[in-house]
Amino acid sequence: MQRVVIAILVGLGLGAGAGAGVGWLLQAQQIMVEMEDLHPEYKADYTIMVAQSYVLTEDWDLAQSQLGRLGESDPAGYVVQLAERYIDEGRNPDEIRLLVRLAARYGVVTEPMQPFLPNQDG
Amino acid sequence: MQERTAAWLLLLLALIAGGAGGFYYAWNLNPLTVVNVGPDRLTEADREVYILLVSEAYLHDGDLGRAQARLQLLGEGDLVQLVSVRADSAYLSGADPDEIRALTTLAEALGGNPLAADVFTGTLAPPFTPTPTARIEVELSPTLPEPTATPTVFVPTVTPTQAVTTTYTLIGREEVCQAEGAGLIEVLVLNEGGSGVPAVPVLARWEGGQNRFFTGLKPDQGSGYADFQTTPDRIYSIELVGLSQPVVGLSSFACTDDTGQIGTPVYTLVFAPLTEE
Repeated sequence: MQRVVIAILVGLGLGAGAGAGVGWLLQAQQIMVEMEDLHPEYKADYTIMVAQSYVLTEDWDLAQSQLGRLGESDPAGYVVQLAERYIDEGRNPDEIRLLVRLAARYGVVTEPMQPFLPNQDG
Repeated sequence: MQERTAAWLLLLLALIAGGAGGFYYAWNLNPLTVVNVGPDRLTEADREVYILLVSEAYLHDGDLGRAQARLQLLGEGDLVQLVSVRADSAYLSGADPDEIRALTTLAEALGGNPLAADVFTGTLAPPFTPTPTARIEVELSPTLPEPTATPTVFVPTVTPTQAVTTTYTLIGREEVCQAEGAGLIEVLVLNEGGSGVPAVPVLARWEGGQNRFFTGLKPDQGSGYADFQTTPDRIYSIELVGLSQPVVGLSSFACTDDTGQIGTPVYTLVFAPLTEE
């Protein structure tokens, strides 16, 4: 009798583990995400591309809609933070200018951003 | 012996039951959530947006190596096909000309031959950047493609090959009152030989607004053809951007045709190069 009980418990345990493993593995192969689930660095690069597109089209509604895909509750705050982080990290000045331009379009220009405003040197 | 057989049988049944339960748990009760992933996991809709933005970024910085690196993050092998298909789809569906231009320009730069290439060829001459040969690994610690060269920031302009050094003038203007259908301004841009010139930017202005469009986006009407649907009760001007003087006073007020029916005006404007002295 004891052998039977052990067999059932072992079977259930192994089966449950294997079943859950297969379930998660299958999901991992098919799962698709939206822009907001991207790694922060990819979200940052996406934001730069939005800024580049905005320079070309000057379509602010479109830019806002594209930024909205990032799922940030405060898109302006996100852009400002990103711009300041890029400035702190000494990233590519052209990218910083693009981000600052977006932040300025949101109406936020912080002190570190001043040198990167379009009408500034450099 | 019987108990041993029963134990094996029960073990098998328990495995099956446990497997089903585990699968149900993983699939329904505690499904996998994935965050901090790369663009290769994007939904189709977001991939479309991503590819368009890569194209527009390329138009902006002209950095082909970076555009390629960004596209490779999508995990698809054939980048030419990836962009060309989108460019053709945008062209055939009559998408925004700026989108068609961005996708077509990138597809061409990658070595493709998109349908709208004839219209937009030469709209951008980006600096050469070598094709990266290493595959970019993307997972939880991504390495984003850095610009492959000091980017030259410039805003590309549509530069029709026939019109670079030429100024155009209006050589024909026709107005017809059309009883049915919407008001229309048709523009035809010809070269010295009388053939249509594609990719010429045309600007329609009216009080409080403007719209830019290009010749050549309706190949069935000729490569130098473009049209613009008017809204009633406005006065428009039309010009070839940077290439001609504006043609003003194109009214979309109701008109009366030869049979006395009320209609809307349809204008046909023909532009040709000014002969330089």
